[in-house]
Amino acid sequence: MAEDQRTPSNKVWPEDRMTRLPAWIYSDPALFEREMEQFFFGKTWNYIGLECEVPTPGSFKRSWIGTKQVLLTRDKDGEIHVLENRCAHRGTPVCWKQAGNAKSLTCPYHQWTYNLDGSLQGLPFLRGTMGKGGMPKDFDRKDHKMRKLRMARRGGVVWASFRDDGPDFATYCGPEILKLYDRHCSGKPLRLLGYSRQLLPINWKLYIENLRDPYHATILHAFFVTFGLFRADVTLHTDSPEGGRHELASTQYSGDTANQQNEATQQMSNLKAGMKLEDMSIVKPIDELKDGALANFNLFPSVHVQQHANIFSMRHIIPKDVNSMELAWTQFGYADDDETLHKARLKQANLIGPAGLVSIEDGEVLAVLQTGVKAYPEGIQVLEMGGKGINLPSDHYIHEDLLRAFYDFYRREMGL
Amino acid sequence: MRWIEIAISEDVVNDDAVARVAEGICVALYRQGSDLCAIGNICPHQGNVLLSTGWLEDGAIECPLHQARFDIRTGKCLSGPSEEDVPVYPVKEEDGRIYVCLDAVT
Repeated sequence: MAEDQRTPSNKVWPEDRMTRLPAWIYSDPALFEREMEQFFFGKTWNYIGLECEVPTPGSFKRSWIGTKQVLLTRDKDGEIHVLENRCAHRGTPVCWKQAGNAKSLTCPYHQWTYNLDGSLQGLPFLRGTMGKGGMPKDFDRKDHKMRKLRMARRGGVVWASFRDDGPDFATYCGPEILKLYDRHCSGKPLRLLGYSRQLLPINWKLYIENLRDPYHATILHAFFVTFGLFRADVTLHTDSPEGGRHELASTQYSGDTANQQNEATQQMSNLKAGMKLEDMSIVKPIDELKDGALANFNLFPSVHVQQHANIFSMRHIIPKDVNSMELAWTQFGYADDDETLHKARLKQANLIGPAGLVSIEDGEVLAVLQTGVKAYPEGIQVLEMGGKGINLPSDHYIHEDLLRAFYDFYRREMGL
Repeated sequence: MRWIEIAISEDVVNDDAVARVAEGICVALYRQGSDLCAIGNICPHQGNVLLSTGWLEDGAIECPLHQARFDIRTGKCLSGPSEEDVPVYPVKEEDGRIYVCLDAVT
């Protein structure tokens, strides 16, 4: 049968599986629903928030696991919970605020009211009115709660899973991710610095790919290259542990390489050696962790954990539908930061977020890319930089091994 | 004590709550056999709900909104979401009339 397997109606992976990516995976609504089930609602651990975001009894914060709303709460006894943000009565999201402090949570529709541990306090007209209506005699409030999710806490960060039969959190991360995780989220009390949120008109996988694409970082991000934060002539350790599920990247930072050129940097058309910063302190970090390293990792599927100079951030990946996602940035430091370090973090925060000196470019280029892959779902993309297989760990920037490793994992999980 | 006339005796019967307002204060009156009780009528939990519109059973009034239960003699919260009790007012009955004292809240 001489059928063209590249047409989107067939939805099959191209023959050269490792080095070719079909464009229809970024715009197929049915595939998106399967991804939610397999990854975000599957046997995974998802980022919810920081313990310091719910500092006192009654604190709550709304969060997301994929397309499902959840709540991070601290009850009157100080215990932390992750609840489905869903009324046990009719399914209405109970809490409509991003964050706050309350003695109870009341659903706006019929005012069913819950404690912050999800138990039902009460509901109007339980006994009816004027002797009429009301709930049946056997109605027990204990049977009707906001569902509590399986939760893990490590180093001041809260995670949750919809599944009770998946691996524990440490096993899910694996030793290589945990080593980077515990490096800056060590259990030292954290301090919330602030948020940025952006809606990206892209399929969520484009953002996952962007995080695993060191090739682009040396070219697209002129600021990085010019001011020596991230450049092709220094060692970059990358790997995709747990069978391609997660991704990590670490490098040695040096403020001294700012504006230094050599063979590698001269090949980069975006390098603007003449550019100067009025205030170079934004690219001269304090080596607070005493190892000079920058370390980032994607704890699949929901978050990119970033330690870049003195920037600590969580980039929460929140898919909305097949063509859009929210990227919610939470920036933090340590509770005992001195004023100098606190100010350094705030200054460096200008590099990231929706309008960050570096991150702004990713949002822009990916939004344009989505229009291309959506318009041409029959398109086939090439991933041959660095070879045709998976050669990891790697010690340089100019490769796509992390992308090949990711899609190798993705195809296995999705049965594609 | 400053006694304020708040109801006539025949209005307050067994197993029923009577809502009254005196000097801007919401009071509920209950009769349980030989006992006459006057307690605060606003649920301290949430909103401005009159407890007297709730469910009276076993000497306790249950808020119609979230089912906080209060002892009608002592005002103590027995169960449910309220973290506070309701005030209890001294009450007396003379010549077919009921009087409360709103000054000395216990």
